[in-house]
Amino acid sequence: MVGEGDDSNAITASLARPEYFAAIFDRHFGTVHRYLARRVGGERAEDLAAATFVIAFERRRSFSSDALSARPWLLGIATNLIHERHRDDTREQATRIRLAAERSPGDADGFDDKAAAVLAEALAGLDSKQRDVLLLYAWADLSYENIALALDVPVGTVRSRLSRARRHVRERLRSEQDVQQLTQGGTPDDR
Amino acid sequence: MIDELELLRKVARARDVDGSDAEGRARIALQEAILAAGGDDRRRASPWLVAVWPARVGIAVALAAAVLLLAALLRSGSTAGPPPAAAAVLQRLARVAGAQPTLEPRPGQYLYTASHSLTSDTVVPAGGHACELIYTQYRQNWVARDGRGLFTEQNGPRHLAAGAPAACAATLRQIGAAPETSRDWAAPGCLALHTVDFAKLPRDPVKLRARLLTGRVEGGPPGAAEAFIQVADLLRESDAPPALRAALYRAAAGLPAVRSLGTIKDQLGRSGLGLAIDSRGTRQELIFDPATGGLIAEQGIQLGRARNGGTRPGSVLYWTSYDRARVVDHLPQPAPLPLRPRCIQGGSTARTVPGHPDDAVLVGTSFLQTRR
Repeated sequence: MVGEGDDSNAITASLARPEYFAAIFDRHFGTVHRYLARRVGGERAEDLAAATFVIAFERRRSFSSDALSARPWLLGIATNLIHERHRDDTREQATRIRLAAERSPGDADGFDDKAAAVLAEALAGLDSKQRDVLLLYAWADLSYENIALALDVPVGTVRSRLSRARRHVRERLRSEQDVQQLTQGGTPDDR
Repeated sequence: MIDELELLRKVARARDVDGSDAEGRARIALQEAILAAGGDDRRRASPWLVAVWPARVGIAVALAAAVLLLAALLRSGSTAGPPPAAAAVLQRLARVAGAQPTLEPRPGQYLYTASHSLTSDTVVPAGGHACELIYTQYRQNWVARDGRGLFTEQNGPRHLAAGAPAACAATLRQIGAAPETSRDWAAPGCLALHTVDFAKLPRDPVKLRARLLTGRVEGGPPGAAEAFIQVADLLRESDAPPALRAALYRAAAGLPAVRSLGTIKDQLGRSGLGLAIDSRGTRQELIFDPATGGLIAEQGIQLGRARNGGTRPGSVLYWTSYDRARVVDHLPQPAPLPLRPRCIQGGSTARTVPGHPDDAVLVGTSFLQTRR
């Protein structure tokens, strides 16, 4: 099998043989679509995921050959697209998280609509740059270094933004104990 | 220790959606972009590109090409969609086919199609074994919009299929192995240019692919292999408009397990772009003319040993090669008998032509005629 480490070679090859870029699609579409669906919902994610790969293909010469995996680069393009095409993302996100909670009230996954609502409010109150870092970290499983590549910022900036974002969310969730209860299926009101 | 991150992840998992439809659309969008960049043909590195590429990149390209070709082969049996090569071929065919002139005959005209094939009949003599007889056939069809027309068949000598019971030799002697020629004229309403209402088929490749995959075009079992064959059904000997042909190719570009065979030859020695899908022990191969996007041949190849042990792996089980379809103004011979009454709902009766026992005229049945 060909791993992510081959992305650089594939993209380099696609400069002369464009059809080789399809390998990048095969490897990363699922990750990019999942990240986008979590951020903007499935319907909008479809358009944005398609646009992400078309834009990536058109800009493939800008891909750094030092980067083995194209995943951070693609998620960076996807994140920029969210901001370009969905400026009302924050408000929508709050709504969508509530909807997600309504879809699975008190389910085995351990959160209910109250927890989701608190979380949505916390995310909505974040600066967009902090939110990008937090969600690339929590929803796309990127490392600090890869978030830095995705957003084209220094790693130190990623660390500070993530730290501030997490502190903000934590405070909005009122206390560590509240969150523990939420994640265990309870609510702060259960105390 | 908390974690707000854990809560975020749980929320995220609850929002995950099935992305298979989105993947199909995105794949098509990317393929269009790749084709626009020249990715389907061998117009390689433009002069400026050659000028700026250092040698080490050239080596990387060669290595990557080898690795990716291997990856494409490994993926060929997956459900993730066709390998890039097959998808690129289909997208290229879509572009070419979509630019071809329409083949719809006007009143008084006929759609002319012709095919060469290896075909078979199964004969079961009274109290005997079923015998499969194989022979070559050259078939010509003239079909008008109102359903009148002519079809002729020139059959080569009959042979027993491999593995036929010994008793079949007597059956073959009894019915005769000699070549045969027949002509059948048809009254209006007896033939059809196509059996599927083309106007009702979506031109959106994703919707069309979904309908093909779920058997909502021609019926049949759901699945990629059946959908692939149905694409051929809609393309062969038909007046499918260019936009529909293009949509069919684009729909097939999203089918899993379709493989590119590169440039291959049909049984008449004509070259074309080959695509294949494996199903139930047979490799179904379609061959397309890269210049017109037209289907020029199809054939079935035995993959494993046949159940009766008669055919070896790699044997050509059947094949058909198509001449290029065109619209013509006349039949080659006028009908020897009046072409009436017209057929109602396709029901027909064959009237033999005096002095020509192998010829017939198809007209409406009296039963259906009385209900008209």
